[in-house]
Amino acid sequence: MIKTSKWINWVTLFRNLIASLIFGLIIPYFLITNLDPNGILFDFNTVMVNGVIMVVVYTCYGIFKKQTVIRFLIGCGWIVTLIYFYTIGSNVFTSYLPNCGFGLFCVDGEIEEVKISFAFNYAWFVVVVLCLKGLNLVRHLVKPVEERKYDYLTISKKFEK
Amino acid sequence: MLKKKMSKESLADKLSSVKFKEESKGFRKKLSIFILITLVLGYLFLFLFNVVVAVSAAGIRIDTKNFDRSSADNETIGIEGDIVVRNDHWYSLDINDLVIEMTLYTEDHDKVYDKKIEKEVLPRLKNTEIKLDFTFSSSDIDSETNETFNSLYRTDKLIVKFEVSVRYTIYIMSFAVEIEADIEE
Repeated sequence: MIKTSKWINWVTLFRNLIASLIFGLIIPYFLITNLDPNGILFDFNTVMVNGVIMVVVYTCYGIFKKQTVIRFLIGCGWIVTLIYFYTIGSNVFTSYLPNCGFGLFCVDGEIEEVKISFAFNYAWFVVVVLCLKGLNLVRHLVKPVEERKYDYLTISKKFEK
Repeated sequence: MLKKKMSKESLADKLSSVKFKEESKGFRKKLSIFILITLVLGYLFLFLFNVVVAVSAAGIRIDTKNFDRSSADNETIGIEGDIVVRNDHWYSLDINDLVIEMTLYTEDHDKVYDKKIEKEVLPRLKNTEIKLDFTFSSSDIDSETNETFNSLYRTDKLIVKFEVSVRYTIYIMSFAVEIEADIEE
């Protein structure tokens, strides 16, 4: 029998669930319905679908304790999900930017009857962020965890009890 | 059955934690501290880097100046004028590799002719005027569209699309602005 108590960190599970619900669904919903109700800049459906993906994957990312192989693997999956967000865009992890390619921000509009389209290439920035996130993932894997000193794990054990 | 249970347990053991040797604890601690310092410096650099570039790029203005028809004969159509890149704010940076692409369209928005102008360095603290000479004859346009040339020659209204891209080579950063404007004679 698999003992899940060895693996699960309840604190990070609920922390990630709440954070992803707030930043992935609730804030984008209120921002779009109040600031861009006609969908000029943002595609409401894309944002909501991305929000659901973010809630699912980021919550999974928080389920397992640090220094576990499965968390490292899900972390790798999380980086792949971020690459998806930086390509499709309109999510909290792309700063709600409407993307039209990997690390490519695009906006079309009309100012004083002159059509203007603006593109901004921030792919280098995305690559650096992803590398830093990957480094952080490795840090969590190799860092020796001293459970007594580590608050999250202590609280998590109380939850389990 | 017992075998199945054993394999499940071994999978659980494999996934539950990473089994490092006890002797590697000191090395892992040093490595994690080194990675943490790299992360802090990396994010700090990223933040400051973007602030500097965003602020300097925000001050750049690109204007058009003295745009008019230039040709005096029946064989060619020409538009000439200047594009002024205002990069004279005190927090400006040198711009590298400025590319201006002009495309002429018919009133039905069919692409007729285009021209690309490149400028390698636009120094900081200066306004740079770039001369655009956009002259073409009927031979520059496809023979099938000779009628298009004649109608363009007669019309009062030319639709030109400007695509301007600026690149900071040092900062490996680029952006493009595409403007569509009607130019009346």
